[in-house]
Amino acid sequence: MKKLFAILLMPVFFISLNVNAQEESGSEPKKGHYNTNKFRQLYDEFATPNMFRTGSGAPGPEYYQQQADYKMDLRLDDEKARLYGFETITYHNNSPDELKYLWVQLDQNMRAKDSKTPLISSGSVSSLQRTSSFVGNYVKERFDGGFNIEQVTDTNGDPLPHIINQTMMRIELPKTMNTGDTFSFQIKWWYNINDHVKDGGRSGYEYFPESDNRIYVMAQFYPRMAVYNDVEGWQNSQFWGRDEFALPFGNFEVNITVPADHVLDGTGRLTNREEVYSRDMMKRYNKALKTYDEPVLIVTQEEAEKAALTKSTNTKTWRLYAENVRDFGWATSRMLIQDMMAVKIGNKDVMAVSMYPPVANPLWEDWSTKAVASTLETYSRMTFDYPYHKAISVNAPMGMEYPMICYNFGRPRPDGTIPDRTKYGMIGVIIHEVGHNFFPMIVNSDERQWTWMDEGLNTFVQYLAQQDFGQTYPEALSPGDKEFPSRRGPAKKIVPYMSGNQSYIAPIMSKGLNTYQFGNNAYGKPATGLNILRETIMGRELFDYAFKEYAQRWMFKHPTPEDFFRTMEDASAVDLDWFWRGWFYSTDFTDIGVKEVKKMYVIDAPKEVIAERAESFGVKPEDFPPVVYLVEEGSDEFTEEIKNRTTLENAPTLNEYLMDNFTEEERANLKTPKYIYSITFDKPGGLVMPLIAEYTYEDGTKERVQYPAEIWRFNDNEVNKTIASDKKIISIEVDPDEETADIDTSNNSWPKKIEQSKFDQFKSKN
Amino acid sequence: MVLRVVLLITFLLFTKINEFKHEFYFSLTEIEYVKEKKAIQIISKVFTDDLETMLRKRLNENIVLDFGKDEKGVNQYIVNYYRDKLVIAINDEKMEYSFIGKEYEEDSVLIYFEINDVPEPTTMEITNQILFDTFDAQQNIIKIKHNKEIKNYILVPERTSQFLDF
Repeated sequence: MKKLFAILLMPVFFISLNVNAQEESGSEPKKGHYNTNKFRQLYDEFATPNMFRTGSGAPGPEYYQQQADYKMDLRLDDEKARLYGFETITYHNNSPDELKYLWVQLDQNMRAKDSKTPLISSGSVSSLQRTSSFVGNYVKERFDGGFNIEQVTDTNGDPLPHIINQTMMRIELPKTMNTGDTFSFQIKWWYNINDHVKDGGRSGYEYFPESDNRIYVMAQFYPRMAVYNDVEGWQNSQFWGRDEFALPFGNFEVNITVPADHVLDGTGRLTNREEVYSRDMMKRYNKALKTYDEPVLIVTQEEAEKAALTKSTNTKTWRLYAENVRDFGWATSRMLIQDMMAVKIGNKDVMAVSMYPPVANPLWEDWSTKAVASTLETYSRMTFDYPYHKAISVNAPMGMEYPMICYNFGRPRPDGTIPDRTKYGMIGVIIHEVGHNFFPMIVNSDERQWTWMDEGLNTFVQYLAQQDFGQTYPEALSPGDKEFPSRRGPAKKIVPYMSGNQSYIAPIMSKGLNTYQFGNNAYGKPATGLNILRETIMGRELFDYAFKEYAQRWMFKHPTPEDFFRTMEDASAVDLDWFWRGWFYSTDFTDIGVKEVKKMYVIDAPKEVIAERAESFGVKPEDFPPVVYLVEEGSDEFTEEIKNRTTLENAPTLNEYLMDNFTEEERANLKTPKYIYSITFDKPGGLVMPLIAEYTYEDGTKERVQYPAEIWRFNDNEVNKTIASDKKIISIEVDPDEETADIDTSNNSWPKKIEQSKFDQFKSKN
Repeated sequence: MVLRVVLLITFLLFTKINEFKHEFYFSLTEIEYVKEKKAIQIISKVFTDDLETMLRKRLNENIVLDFGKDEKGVNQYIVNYYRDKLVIAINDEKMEYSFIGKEYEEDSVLIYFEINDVPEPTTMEITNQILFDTFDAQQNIIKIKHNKEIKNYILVPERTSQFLDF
């Protein structure tokens, strides 16, 4: 008992000795400091929880959101490539605030003749230019694609005062809207539809000169309500062209008049299918409703090719009704093939639909609808059952998403060949855009403010969906590919971005318009961060549960970044503030390595050592408690014989201690280590990550230990671990599976491995 | 003239954004002096589609860049083009480089060159006009590694060379 007490007392003596030593050596008073510990909670960065959004990351008891319903009549003038529209918008004020005015978004105005969008880009002039570019830049009249607003009135036809500031229109309310009020108003407009292939854009038409026909993929085609919420007030940040959209939910009733020989589809249920479908189409459609394995053609390639030869002068009106959507998109052309397939999601059937011109075949008839169906399955598993009744994929040279409909690139070469990168690119973009139905169409974050909340989360689930697709359809993979090649997801792929020039990197939590490397910042880095959380930090079970909780808390609502960050912790009991701080709020990168390894053996303490220590405690050597001594290999006190003896032989004191305190039976089960390793790991990189160390032993066995990130909480630069082992460690590897996005693996091994450069690796292979 | 590029550029991670295809054209050429070997190692990374477009415009509409298709024939075209457009001078002397090979990596093609028997560089001048003849908006990033230092520059049609001294 006395001995045990003495042993326990020792650390106390050591600590107090150290403190005294420090105080004596200090000369001037040091300056105070702030808490800069990387594990401090994000109280300062996060918005304070309130009645709208709780501390747990869920909608609060006073959470509200506005609603905007639309009734629209649209007419497409195919000859002039112009759209005419008339809408009645009914806006519901569910907020506790009084509203004096409303903001309406006019996105097409960034394409107006006097748009300021071209003014904010910087570039220089080439002395040698291609004639086509020169004409496009300096000779041709600027395309005038802005909205022509003919009427802004109340439902009686009385004009409403309004002012247009570029892409935002403010409408003065005749009387203040209070909580619970609704207000309806009407807008009549038209605009010239842009050629999205030549002029760019997320909607517009593609012109095919060989057949003198267009495919229209329409969106942002109507003046629409801006979001009003508790976080931003009115989200009336201008549309400069890059940041995407913030939109309230509502119900849409849209009637679209197009040439009678067009095929059309869009957001919502087609309520007059029997009027607009031929009898053949109806038959095929009914068959598709019950077909789950292969797409059923509604409009065949021959029919599409034939329709493209003439131009009907009659019209048809397609009626669509969509409930609880945040936007509306539609595609129409006489050149389109259409196919459909049913897919079971939960206890419902959802229709997967594709529309594409003949030039997209055979790629599109083979894979588009299957990719749609597979995507719905993966995303539903990760979040919630897809609540809408259909999902459409339309072929257009772009990649963009709307509720229930998206536009996706990917066509064979003119000579008919399909390089691998085209096939994988096409399937990848379909998965990504269909995935957007979940983020942000249903989990409706503010894209204008935080691009990453939908792009990052979507890119992350896309990676999982791509893996699933490759497993469901191995015949879609090219020979030699064992899985679907994904360029975003695995931690190692983000290393080039994170290790790059810091002047070109911004934290994820920066507004999209102002960052460089938009793609990596908003898509790749957040997606990779989530993958690291799932695979390495939280594990799949905890991650998937928390991720699903977030999706289900915020489906059909408007979450902010804090709501996501808080929910992931709330549902998992894993402290993640250090992770969000490092990965989302900073541009720190991971670099962890092995700094030093000391190998020690256990021996009896030399008499001089005991004498010295006893004196410093003011104790007689004889009264000193039993101790063992760790001697470092290579030090003065080390001899070769120590290596050849067992620990008990080297340290009789230990042997005695065991014999005094354990029975023979107990001693038989004790394992006395022969080697004591003192391993120092260091962290030259700022980012905190778990320390994953793999120890390889002499007998070939390996042991992997994942030390939680909290290991760095007291010392952000270095930690020390002591390993007691009866087997010799011959090598140590930090992060052997490259899970932490370590930008420099040259310091990850002990003994140090000479890593071959990429160049040398290639040269030795060829 | 310092060229700060405010348009979208993906600096080091080579992926074309899936969504809303912005047209942006760039390449990344890494040039490293390896002291122990007295060699300069060059890896030039270009989007496969872009290189293919250039080859078709300059030479032959039927050229295809795809793994396993006409590898040797295509290589000679690429090497000839590079020798014309990528010029490296060390200590004021223009260097001849040899072709090691090329490989495809997702959307891109990596082309490997080497220069042997290179004296310790005190000055280096890099001229990189790859794809300027095909795309007005082409930007070529060069990354020079020497003595554990890394320097990055962006070359454009108005400024095709970079001079460095060590």
